[in-house]
Amino acid sequence: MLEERYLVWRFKHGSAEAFERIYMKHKNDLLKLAVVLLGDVHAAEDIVHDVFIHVAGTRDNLRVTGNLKGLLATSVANRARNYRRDEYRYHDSLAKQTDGEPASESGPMQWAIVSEQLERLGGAMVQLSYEQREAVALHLGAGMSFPEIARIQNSSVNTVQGRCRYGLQKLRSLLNSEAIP
Amino acid sequence: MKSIHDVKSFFRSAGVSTNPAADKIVLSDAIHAGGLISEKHTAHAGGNLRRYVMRNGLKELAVAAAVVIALFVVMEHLGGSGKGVGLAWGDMRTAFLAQRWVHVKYDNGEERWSNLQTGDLYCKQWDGRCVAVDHARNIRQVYNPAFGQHISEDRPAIYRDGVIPAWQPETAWESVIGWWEGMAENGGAGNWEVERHADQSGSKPLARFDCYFNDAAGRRLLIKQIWADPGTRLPLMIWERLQLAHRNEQKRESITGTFDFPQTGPASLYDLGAPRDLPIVKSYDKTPAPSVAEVFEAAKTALARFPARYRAIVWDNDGENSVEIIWRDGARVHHNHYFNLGTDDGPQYHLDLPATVQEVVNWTQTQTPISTYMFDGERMYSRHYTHPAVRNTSDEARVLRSRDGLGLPTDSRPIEDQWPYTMGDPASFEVIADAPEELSQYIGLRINSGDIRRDFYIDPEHDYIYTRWIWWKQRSGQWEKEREYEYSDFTRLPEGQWYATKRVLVTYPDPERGTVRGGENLNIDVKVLEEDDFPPDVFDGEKLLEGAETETY
Repeated sequence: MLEERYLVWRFKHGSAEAFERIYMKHKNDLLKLAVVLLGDVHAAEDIVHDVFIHVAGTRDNLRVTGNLKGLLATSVANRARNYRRDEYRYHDSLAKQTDGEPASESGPMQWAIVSEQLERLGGAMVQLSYEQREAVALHLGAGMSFPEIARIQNSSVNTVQGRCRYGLQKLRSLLNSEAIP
Repeated sequence: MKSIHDVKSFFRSAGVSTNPAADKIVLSDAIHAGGLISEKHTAHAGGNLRRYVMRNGLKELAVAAAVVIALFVVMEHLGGSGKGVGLAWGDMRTAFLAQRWVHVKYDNGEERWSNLQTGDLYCKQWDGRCVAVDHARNIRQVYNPAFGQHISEDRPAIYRDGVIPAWQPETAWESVIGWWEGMAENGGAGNWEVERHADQSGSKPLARFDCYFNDAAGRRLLIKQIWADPGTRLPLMIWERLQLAHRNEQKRESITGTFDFPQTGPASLYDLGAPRDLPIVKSYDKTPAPSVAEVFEAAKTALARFPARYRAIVWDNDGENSVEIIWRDGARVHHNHYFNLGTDDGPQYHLDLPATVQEVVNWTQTQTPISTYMFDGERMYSRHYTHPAVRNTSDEARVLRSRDGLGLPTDSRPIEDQWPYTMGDPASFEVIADAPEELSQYIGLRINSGDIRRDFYIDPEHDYIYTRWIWWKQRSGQWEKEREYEYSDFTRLPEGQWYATKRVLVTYPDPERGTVRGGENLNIDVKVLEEDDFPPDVFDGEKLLEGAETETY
């Protein structure tokens, strides 16, 4: 924690090295979060890329002792929600899914290399309602507390707990049924 | 997947990794977008300078202009007027004067053009910045994607009586090699030395000019080399060592450019890639409103009256942040930065708050600072220490030549920070006509720049220190607050000067960026000092460097 505080402080003073270490520390978690929120690796890459660029450009807003991981995760969640609200892109993505086209393809410029396990998880997560998916992802993926998620979702803590509980139950059911040949 | 617990385990263990090549791209984009600079070089002042600019939006244009001036100082050095060159080849010169453009293209994508007939200059930098200079009109336009959505326009030169001298056409040799040749003959100037050597390409003899820079530590560094063909009188190739800031940004040590001599070149900034629909913000031929000029005059007078020698302590009221101690003796600055750690991190590094000034001072005397920044009037020094409780801190020091301590962090100047608007051009400000009622007793000044707006509410009862500084950003046609600084709890020094002892910053959520509401709550204390009151060696840079690994270039 102290190391992170020091890194944030140096980053606030313009240190590229500190930013690189922050980046290396959080990129995988953020990519995973974005992948499970969107079920689309390319969109997830775009969003996380964008988050790092904006964080680098707005470092004065960071508090040295703030929860950096929470801030980054919130930023990813907000962008993921905005992405979904963009009807064209959303429908484009849906069309890809309904056409049976893979949501993302591997290529030489692909940034995120998704494990088979995460692919399965992502496939199951997109079948949850978005609010449930977001609550589960922020709680399990970003380690956020229910009150923190409630603030992001503009909902009560009880509602968030319910979303998480029902989301996990559905996820269990989906992953179990997937396991049956 | 028998239980919810299994689902949680499955979720947590589902992994993702990244392609290292793509990591570099993402990092490079972000580092560039944030103006981040490697700490391992002298020009880390640039990072702080940029940070200063970002915090003090008023200076964006001025700094953009300064950057461009620096660029053109280099360009002019490369392409001096050639007055030092004695030419005895009149007819050939006439023929060469038909050359129209010199163009150099670097292997990092940067390009520069100079029109030998008109004196116009164009530059497109690797990061998208572009510059166009119209010599005949004495106008320079700059488009910098990092500084908002506008094109800035200023006058690059000041001419006696305002008369722009007619451009005298040059040859490519005079334009590009003239300065090098003159420097080589004269042995150099300032920190620069140039040597001329015979070189060859295959069997063709070439002239090579090596340019050395004597750095702050007295080392002689090869910075540039240029090759030219004395037979054809044309420059051929240039090599430039990048400063470490640019080395890290661009992930390369140096750039190499090759010359060509086209008949046509760019005609405007738009030909270099600047968007055509941007507003042009002029920074010249403007006169401030008399009421604005009066405020600036009064504020500058108040700031000038502030004691030159003092110790300032700034600490966070919320107790979980930082403590700054700054000693000032005129231009000289010594700034120690401490972390106030939580009790869980080690009670010996924790300062209980609220604390009196004396308690803060006593606490700092038992602590290792995280860093020290120092300006001795000529050089800027910085040192980061190995802190016993903070992992991965290291003992390293930097030194660079600095003008006016420009490389210092913003929080090294807590007093100047109370009058930040005085750094702006008064002609760019307008009086706020629609001030909110709770601020109507103050003088409201506003500055607009594209989709950015800054409002100052200035208190004439307290030496024209601002009480509120509001940052606005236009989003979807609506002005929304980005952040708000408030100075309060004014107090007077024995000689009657005012300063604020509290500063509150509120940052507003930005849905686009995903930022949440935040802020800080600072205490400020100033103690006026006499010459003998300073700690020993507080402005001694060499002492500060002792025992640390030092970087200078």
